[in-house]
Amino acid sequence: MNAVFDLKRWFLYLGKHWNENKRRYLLSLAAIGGLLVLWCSFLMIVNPENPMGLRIQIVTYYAGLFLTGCLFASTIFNDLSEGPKGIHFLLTPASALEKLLTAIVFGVILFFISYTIVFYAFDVIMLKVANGVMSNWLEQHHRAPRPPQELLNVFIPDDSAKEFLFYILLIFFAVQSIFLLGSLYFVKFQYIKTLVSGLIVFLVLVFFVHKVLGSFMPDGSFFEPFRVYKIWNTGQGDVMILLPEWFSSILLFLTKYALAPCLWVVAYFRLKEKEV
Amino acid sequence: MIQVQNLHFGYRRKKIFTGLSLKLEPGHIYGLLGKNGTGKSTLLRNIAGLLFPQEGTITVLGFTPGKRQPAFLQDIFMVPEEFHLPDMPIEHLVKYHAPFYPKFNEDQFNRYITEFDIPRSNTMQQMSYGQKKKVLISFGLACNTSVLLMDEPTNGLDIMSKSQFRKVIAGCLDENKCIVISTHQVKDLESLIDRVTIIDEGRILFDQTVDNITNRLSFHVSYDSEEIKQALFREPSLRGSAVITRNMQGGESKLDLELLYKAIVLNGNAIQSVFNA
Repeated sequence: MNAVFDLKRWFLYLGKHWNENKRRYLLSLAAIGGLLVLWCSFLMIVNPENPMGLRIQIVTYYAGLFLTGCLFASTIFNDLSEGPKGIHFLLTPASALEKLLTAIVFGVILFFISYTIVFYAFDVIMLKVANGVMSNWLEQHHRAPRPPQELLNVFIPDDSAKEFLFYILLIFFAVQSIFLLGSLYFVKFQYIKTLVSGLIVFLVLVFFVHKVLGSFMPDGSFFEPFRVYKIWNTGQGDVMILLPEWFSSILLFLTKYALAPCLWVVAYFRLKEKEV
Repeated sequence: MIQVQNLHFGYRRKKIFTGLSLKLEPGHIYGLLGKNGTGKSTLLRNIAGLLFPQEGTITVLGFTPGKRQPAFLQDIFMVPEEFHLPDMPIEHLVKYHAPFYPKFNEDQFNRYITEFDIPRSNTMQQMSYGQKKKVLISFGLACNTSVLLMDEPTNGLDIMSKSQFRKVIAGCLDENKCIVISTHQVKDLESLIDRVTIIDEGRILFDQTVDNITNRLSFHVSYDSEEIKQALFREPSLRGSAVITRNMQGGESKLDLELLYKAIVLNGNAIQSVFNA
């Protein structure tokens, strides 16, 4: 028997986890749907002229994703903060890796897919209602009719926003992983504590980069992230320092894709050392 | 099977163990007795790998418990004092939890459930605390793990259930299993355990087999003032005095665990002297 990972045992654990938590997960999705209805209704009341424009839909999707995704991630290892549940969790015969992967599958991957499905399911309905509200309002105020608002592709609304939204998603997964790690580190009030700690770490990092590292660097800034450093006022005009291609590629790749997995690795070791 | 060597453990403000050593063998039911807060549950949690020793080592079935390897976890089961059972019907518990335990026996589980008179149609949330505890005990026993740790298992059980508990525990022991029961309800275990380990202030105060105890000590009610005076331990009762004396008859006496426990805690040296001789 493999002590670190066994596919059959992991599938058993996935089944057990789903069976134990399905009610909670389905209720959470229903709550997200309810919040979307409330929010869209609010928009229709305050802005009946154009309640669900494209920009509003995008902001709703991503703001909701960040809020609910991080809240959900901060509850993933909630069991460990309650003694009896923690004992049940830790003594279930599966490895720490299998338990963590299960948390990632449900808390990160399935949450993202389910949230998107719920968003679209409610967006389709609320869009129809919103278009009805809008046409009524325009009719009542004797305005020219407008084409109804269309359902939006929240990932590629247009070519200009495609890359920006891709980065927003990458940031989301990294931030969500911080909350997942927080659910292992903190025993109570994981969401608030992770939020506060995350902010403090972020501010310390910003301070360190600007005040400490900045003092060693020549007066300038990155012209292209991890690729070109621009030095100002050298007397002979601006000087560009080009970093080697391979170096900047690796740095960029790590920043984009490695942050969340790195946090999962930290979570793995934290889970292994968890005591109840 | 279970070896605890020079265990040091403490919580932030309180030291619990400072060099505890213990060896538990298969084929026995160990009674771990002690006052509240003396470290019984902490010891069980260290053995189960839920807490890690700060110093010293623990080996269970050849594993280091703190590593919580699946091969170790599937051969150890713990019934904690405060426990959690997911809210699901009994058959789902068997369907989703039992496959993790290779030696799980469904017939055995069903037999215990019947013996404990647990309604099968109810989910865990619909059951009382005692019923849930009986489900957990039945499940733990049916897992047939080599090590079974039970922390105050009779808490919350009614009189009939306590008697059924003793019956099923006695029936499931074999030479490959080691059962450790921690309790302060000593009467519940009297006829069950075959080794008594008393912990106090994080150290082993007393550790003897029941056979050894009943061969060397006699527990009885005495009306003889001279015998009462010379007893290793005495406690006035409604009729005469309950006493512990040296067993001079040669045969086995009947163990009074509660009296023994009090004697060890209040007058341990006198009792120990019998075993050290």
